[in-house]
Amino acid sequence: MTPSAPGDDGRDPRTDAELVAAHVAGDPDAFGEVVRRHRDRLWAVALRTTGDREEAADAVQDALVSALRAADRFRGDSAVTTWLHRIVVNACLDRARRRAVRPTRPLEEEVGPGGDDSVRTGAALAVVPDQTPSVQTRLDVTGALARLPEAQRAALVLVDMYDVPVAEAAEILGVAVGTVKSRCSRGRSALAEILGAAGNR
Amino acid sequence: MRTGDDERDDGDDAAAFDAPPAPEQHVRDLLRAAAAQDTAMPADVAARLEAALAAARVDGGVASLGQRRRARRFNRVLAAAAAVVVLGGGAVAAQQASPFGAGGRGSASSAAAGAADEGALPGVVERKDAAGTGTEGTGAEDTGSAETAGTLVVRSGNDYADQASLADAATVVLAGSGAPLTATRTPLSAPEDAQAGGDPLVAQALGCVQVLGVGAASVVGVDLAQWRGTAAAVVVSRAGGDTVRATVVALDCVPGADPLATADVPVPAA
Repeated sequence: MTPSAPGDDGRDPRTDAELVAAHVAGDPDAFGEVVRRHRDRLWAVALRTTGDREEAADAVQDALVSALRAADRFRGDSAVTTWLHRIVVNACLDRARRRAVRPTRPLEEEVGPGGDDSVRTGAALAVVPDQTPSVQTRLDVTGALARLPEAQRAALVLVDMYDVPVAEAAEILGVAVGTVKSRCSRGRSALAEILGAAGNR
Repeated sequence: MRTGDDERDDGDDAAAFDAPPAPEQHVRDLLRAAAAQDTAMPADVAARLEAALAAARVDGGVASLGQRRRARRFNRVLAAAAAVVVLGGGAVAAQQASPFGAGGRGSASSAAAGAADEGALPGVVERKDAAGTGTEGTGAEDTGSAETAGTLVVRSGNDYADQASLADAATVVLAGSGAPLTATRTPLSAPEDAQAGGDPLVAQALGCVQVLGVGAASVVGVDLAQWRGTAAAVVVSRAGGDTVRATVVALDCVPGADPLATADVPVPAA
């Protein structure tokens, strides 16, 4: 993630940090420009982290409204994108925790004919190694991802899916670098096991 | 499959991160391939987001230092107005108590007067029921029965500066609750309900209770106040035994926000 994304194609040339400062100073359009620059990535991260479209939409909305209101507390110690990702990921994890208390079906799942809900669209389908990942395999891995504990899922989403540097992911998640590595490693291992078991079924 | 406690910084796991075995490297490739297929934020979600941000801007936007100072002044005015209501209510109550006073059930103002007479702390007590509709009155009169109790929201407007002063917040809320700690209470009202009820401050306070992760069943009430000059919610919850915990959170809390201060306060003897 780059700290700023000034455009040379007619977009606002200011850096993210300059836009946030302008927003705090009263520029009514500045925060919207920051959001437009990063909303697709924030959306993708939220969608993968929550595994649910509506939850992701609500989490991104809540997070960005909070960021808009609390922008004066952004000190510039980290990149604006890191700050926004931190707020969005925390909103997703917060929702996941609340959902764990009041469980709902997190994904659009299909229960097997015998009522075996392990036969789900996504996680229970086979992985075919040694091939370019097919559309079906990509669905498998994202379905399997949704079965991991949210902390592991968030680490994998940031580091393995979106190439966020480990140190930055640690900052976003508020944990040590070693913890991010550990979560990623365990998450990959768990995913391999889920997908392997499904492939052998 | 190890999906359990992953908080530990396991050296082996960290080493495996840098040089993953083949199956895990394959998982990595799959994840990357899945990410490459991501699409932009859907138009309906983007439109909702734009609308929410526009509403937030109208609703006050960023809380700049200047605005916070203005908010502080506004809170002082609000506190003064509340005091006026209490005093005015006292006059009404006195009139009602006289042979020429109107009979029947008192208004919110007269209820406030009752509290003033009984030495209750000034301020408006608002109880949010499940539908988000508040009822105003005083803690002394509002006994907080299980039938009507939701989340108790007290607007003291006090500016708490240190942990010791949080005992006052606990006192304000306990006085407002008017119910013993063992009383059955209904779960927290949802912030959305409070928002629907037309009070964004109460909605924000309830949202901050959720952000703090304080168990709904343990919440005694919330004091809408200030912490060192900044708008804050003081969440008073049961801490076990004869103790309550006062947890301060900024009213513009964001998900994952840490409390600004916490203090355990012994429950004053009745």
